[in-house]
Amino acid sequence: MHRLLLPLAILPALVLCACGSVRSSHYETVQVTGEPATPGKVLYLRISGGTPDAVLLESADQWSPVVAELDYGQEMRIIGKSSGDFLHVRTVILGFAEEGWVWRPTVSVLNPADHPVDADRWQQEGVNRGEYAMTPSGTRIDGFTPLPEEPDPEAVRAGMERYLEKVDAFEGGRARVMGDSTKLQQRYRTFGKTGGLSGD
Amino acid sequence: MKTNFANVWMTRLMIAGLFCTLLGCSLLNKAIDTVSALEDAKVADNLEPSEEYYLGRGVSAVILDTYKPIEIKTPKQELQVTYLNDMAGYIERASKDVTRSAVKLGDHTNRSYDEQEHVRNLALFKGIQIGILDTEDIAAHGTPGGFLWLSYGAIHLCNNEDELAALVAHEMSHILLDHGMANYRSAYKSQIMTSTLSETWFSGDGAVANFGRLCTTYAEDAFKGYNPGQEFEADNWGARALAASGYAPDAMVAVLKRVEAFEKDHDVDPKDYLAHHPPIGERIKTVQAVIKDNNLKANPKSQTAEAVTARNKRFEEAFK
Repeated sequence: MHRLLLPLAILPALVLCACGSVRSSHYETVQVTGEPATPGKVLYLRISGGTPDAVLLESADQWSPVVAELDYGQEMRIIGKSSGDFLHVRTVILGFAEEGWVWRPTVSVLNPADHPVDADRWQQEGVNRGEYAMTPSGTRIDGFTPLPEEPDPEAVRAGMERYLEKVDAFEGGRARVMGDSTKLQQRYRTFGKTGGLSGD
Repeated sequence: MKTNFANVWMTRLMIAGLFCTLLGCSLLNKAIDTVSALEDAKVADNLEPSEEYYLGRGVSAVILDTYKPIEIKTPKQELQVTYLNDMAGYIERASKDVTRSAVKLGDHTNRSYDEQEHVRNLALFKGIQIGILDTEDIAAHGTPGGFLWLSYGAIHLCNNEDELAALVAHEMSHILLDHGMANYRSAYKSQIMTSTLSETWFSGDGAVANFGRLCTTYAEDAFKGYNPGQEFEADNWGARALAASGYAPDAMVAVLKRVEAFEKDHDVDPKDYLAHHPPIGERIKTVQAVIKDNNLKANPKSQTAEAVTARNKRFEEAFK
């Protein structure tokens, strides 16, 4: 029977080693901004319900099991310290209090109900600190500024086209893509040479 | 004897089981590697060059919603645009090898030599095109497709051509290292994974919404600045590109010091305009270390009085 013991003993170890060798995925980090985690603060979901990030998670991890799906404008209250980009919150779903974690960029102190139409016209963390926005109901919200009036997109695009066409014209029309024209290459060489940067 | 016979077969079964388990794990490894590769963005690197170019135009349009480009009407403006575009083209050409070695720059960019070359070619579908934003605000943004937007404010921050070249090289590296797209991929990984890239962004009912979202998100990131790891990489690449182009790599330090001085003089909190940038002092020290550790030096010919005078003259003709 001792001949059986060796394989039996090493099998679990080998299986664990083999599975442990599965490389964990490498994810690039992304800096995110969002609400500071002050306990007691009331926040609202600012993204559409049904989207992947509109969820309450069991733990502060993007792969955590989902406790519940959240609706646009869902009210929640911060109940503890944040963890990374996640906030620990409590909310009420179908009359039941639920606790979990939400991804910080998905929530805002702005109540969408206060801004049914113009929600997109407010920016968080104004350019200059100390700026604030007023809601239609007269509530002052610090750290927000109204966005400037939207320029006409068609005019903006036309301006860009005019600009790029001129740049193209200066550079010989850029008839070729994926590789500069001989004329352009010559100009780049001349630039380096006249500036004393390159010898050839 | 019976017992021995049973033992032999039991042992063989165990070995066969072990073999199957290891094979299974190996296949699982393979499958996970494949998924990781997709998630890590080989997906977005598979943009068609023209798609990346038009994405860049879309992002540029969002940037130009905030800052207007100059109208090129006067000979002086023509000179400025030509000068900047020739400079960018020259730096890009001279620093090809720097781009190829970008995998070594930092922790953020993680591509093989060939992958980096592929991304570079994508980004430069029509070469680098510099646009000037008609504002004294300090703004410098690189977008996919090779578009680089510099404000008069940013240009006037520079005291000479070498410093302007440092600014251009820094922004150019964000384009060549595909930083913006890397951020977008991470932020919207789940959506990207649900279908092919083209289906997600460039066709179907949601095309306009998705493409618009992509452009807007990308531009928002550009306004906030890239994340600290990417900024360090861009400074690193920029210093190397300057040396490869013949400029003094110390120009990168000089331009960072000008930003530092500007922040002090104007009592500006960097978080107000570059939410994600690392502290400027830290960047200066890091670039100095990069220059020293890699023994980066200017082309000696570029440091002669004649060469410096020639560069200063054309810089002043364009922007003073």
